Parts: sequence; C-alpha cells; structure tokens
Amino acid sequence: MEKDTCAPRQQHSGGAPEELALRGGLQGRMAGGFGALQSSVDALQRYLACNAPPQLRQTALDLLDDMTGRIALLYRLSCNAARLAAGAGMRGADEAAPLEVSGYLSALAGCANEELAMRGFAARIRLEGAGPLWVLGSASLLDGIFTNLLSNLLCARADGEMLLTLSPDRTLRYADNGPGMDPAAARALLEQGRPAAELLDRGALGLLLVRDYAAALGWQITVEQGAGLRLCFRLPPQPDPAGLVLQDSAGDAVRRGILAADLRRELDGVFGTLPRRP
Amino acid sequence: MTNAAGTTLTALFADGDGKVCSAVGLYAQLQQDIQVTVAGTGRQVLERLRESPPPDVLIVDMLLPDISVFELLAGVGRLCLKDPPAVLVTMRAPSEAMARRLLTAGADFFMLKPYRLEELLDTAIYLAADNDTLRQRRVRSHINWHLRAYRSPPELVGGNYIRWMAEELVLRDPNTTAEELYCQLAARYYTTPNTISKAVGRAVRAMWKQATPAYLELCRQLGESTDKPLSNRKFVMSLAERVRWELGL
Repeated sequence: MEKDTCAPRQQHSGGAPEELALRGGLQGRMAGGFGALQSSVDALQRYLACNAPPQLRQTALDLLDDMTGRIALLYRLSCNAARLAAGAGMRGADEAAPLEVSGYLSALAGCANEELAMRGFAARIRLEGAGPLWVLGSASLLDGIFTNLLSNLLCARADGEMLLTLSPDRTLRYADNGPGMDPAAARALLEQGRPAAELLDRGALGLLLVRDYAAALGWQITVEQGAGLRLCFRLPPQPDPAGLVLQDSAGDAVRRGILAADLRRELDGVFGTLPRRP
Repeated sequence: MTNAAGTTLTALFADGDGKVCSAVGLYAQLQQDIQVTVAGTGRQVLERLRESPPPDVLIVDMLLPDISVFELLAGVGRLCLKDPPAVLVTMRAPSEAMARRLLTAGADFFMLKPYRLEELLDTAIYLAADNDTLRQRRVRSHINWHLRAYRSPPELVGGNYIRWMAEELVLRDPNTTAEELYCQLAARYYTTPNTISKAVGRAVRAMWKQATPAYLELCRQLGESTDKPLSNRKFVMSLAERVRWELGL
C-alpha cells in the first residue's frame, strides 16, 4: 500500500493547498491505486510473454489482458462516480479562464476523430458554424461534457455521427444519429437532473455528468425534438474582456495532452484498451 | 536504442509506491532498448544524480514521500549538470494548471496515471533519444557549463550574446560569420552590430581577467598568447566547436 507520509513533504512544499493539488483529491488517489495495479499487470504480462511455458503462455496473457480491460472499466466508473459525488464544479473550479469555444471544438474533433480511427470506429465528430465565441470556464469541464456524449453515442452506434453547431446567438447545438431517448426521460435527466430508475440501471452516470458539467459552466441545456439525441446548450453572456488574460487553449500542447488522456480514459473504460504491440 | 553518445539509453524511475517501482524494475529487466534503475524518494534521486553519471531521462512521480516534485526539480537544476536528464513527470489528476507549472519548473513532459508501462517507456525513449528540443537543451547546458568554468560575469549582457551566438553556430550554421551574428542580434535587440560587438568584447575581456585554468587551457589549445584577451570571433567559434565535439554533432 502506498505510504501517506505527507508531513515531511509538506514542510518542503507550499503547505496544505499545494499538498491537496499534488494528491489530486479522490480522483488522484484512485489514479494512484489503479496505476499501481496496471503497472503490476503490465510487468507480469511482460514476464510471462518472455518466460512462461508455451502451453500456458496464451492463457496467462489472455487473463492479464482481461484484467487490463477491467481496470480501465473500473477506473472510468469510479472517476465518474467520484465526480458526481464531489460535484462537477469541483473539477476545474480553480481553473476557469477565458476559452474560445470554436477553437476548443476544433481541437476536440481532431483529437477524437484520430482516436476513433485508431480504434476502428467509423464514428466521427463534425463541426458547423464558426467562432470566435468566448466563454469563461474550465476546458476540463468541456472535456467531461463531450467525452461522455461521445461514449454514450458509441455505445448505441459504433458508426454514429456527432454534429456540433455553434451559432452567433451563443448557442451550441449537439445532434447525433443514435437511437435517441424518450423525450420525457431525456428532459427529466438532462434539464432537471432526475434520471428515471430504468436509465440508471442502464448506466446514465455519463449523461448526469454532462448536466452537472454544463451547470458548473453556467450553460443551460434544453432537449430538442428530432431524430437521435438533440441538445441545445445556451452559453452565458460574453465575459468582460477588460483585464482578462487570454490564452488560446486550442493550440496548447498541455490542453491537448489532457484532452487526449480524458478521451482515451473514457473510451478505454467503455470499449477496452488498444491492443499492445506483440 | 542509443543516446547522442552512442550508448544504451538509461532512465531513473522514482515513485513513492514500492510496488510500482518493483513492477517497473521487473518490466525494465526484459527491455533491451533502455536500462532503468529505480528510486523510492526524491533524496535518493538527487543522490544518484550527484554520485553517478546522470541518466538520459528521469521519470518521477509528482507525489514523492519526502520532498515535493518542485523541490526535486529545483534540486536537479541546482546540480548544474553538464548533461541534465530529460524529465518526465507522472501526474495523478488532469490539472492543466499543475501541468503548466511542472513544465515551467523544469519538466519536459507529463503523463497521467494510470499509464501502461509500454507507453511510459516508449515516451521515455522518445525524450531520451536525440530529438530537437533535447538537443537544444543539451547545447545550452554545455555552453553554460563552459562559461561558468571561464567565470563569465552574469551581470554583463555580453555573456548572453555569447550564449546565443554559440548556440546558433552549434545548432544552425557553423559557417555563419561573427558579423552576420552581430547583425542578427542587433535586429533582435533593436541596437547596432557595433554595440553587440563591444558588449561581447567586454565579456571576453572580463573572462580573460579572471584567468581561470579553463580559459588559460583554451588559449593554449588555440596557440594564443594570454597577454591579451582572445578576439570575439575566436572565443565564440572555439566555444561552439568544443560543444559540437562534446555532443558529437
């Protein structure tokens, strides 16, 4: 078990707030625990691939592959549960910054389409409309909205298409060509945060998170009529540009790295990890 | 896989969780393209860096049991290693602010937990192999190391001009003349080539006055008298030549 000897480190660090940031909260603890598990599985897989007797090798490797898939699934579920428990506003609450939405969506579509192609999905994200459209918020909350919507669509339809349309009246429309939901259940879940029991049984955590993240950003969601799932996100008024320090998230390597990791974690948890090299 | 010096890549992995260290150690024993040693604390990392040739890449978890990762990065910086390792930090939570802070503090790359060991070592190999960013960092580090040996006064702006000129000669075109470099610097700093030349001359004169063993050895190798300072051109060209030779460029 990991030792929690924080007292000596706190003396050298910036004290309790930095200590909390380094630990990363509940999600950080889970990442550490699941990370240790995954490292052990990887090491055993490597060892067995090199040293196991031929008649046992494939069975052993298959079992360890299965463990890897389950670790990814459990990590995703536990992250989603932790975020719902902590409140989505906790994630990125201290990282709100001016964010240009069309640039963000471009980066998302590029990253996601690449990841989908690597996994053999025919699904794609398309964008319409143009920016610039500025909001004040955390890009990691947007990551949470769109990674959950994407995995939700892929579960229903592996070749689904997601269309994101940005309009000058500060609305962002989401439309997909999946099977959609019962309109009343969709409104109860996404507009009021009241999932029906049967939806929870089928796993509505992701869509609850979409609602929570949107609320944390100050975005209003309404469910719209039409084929598939159609949502309209109404964005808050443009932030006052006076005194703001702007950063272009779209082109930023750190942003892309975190977005790619979020996407990969979500898709690994639902569809399993990408195959290893032989 | 080899590093710039042609030897097998080496890495030092540090994590407060002993089981993760064991797993990485076991996995790495079966790897041929990189040699990995493990450490359990930040202080162990700093000791290893002081006592042994530094690894090509340092992989460190941001939650070490004894010192914070920022203390560790500052400690690595204070060692003033001639060949500092590339630094890969493993993070637990996807915090943009923390990632940016790590990259500013001296990390070259970050990776989120949970990671696959294959991906971790592939990234370490990429960082440790001779890529452009790492090459530039090593060139700068070697130039700084020599200027410290010559006791280049940090308050003189000419020292910065010398650094820039040597870096240009090593990384871009070794045949660029001193006059061309003065002109480029003058455009960069909104001044005249003559001003740049005089500032470089003042810095070289200051190093000549220090007469450190390293400077005297340089003069001997160039066959130059120590009765007067080296010319700007000779000083900068020989510095660039030496760094190119050391890094095998």
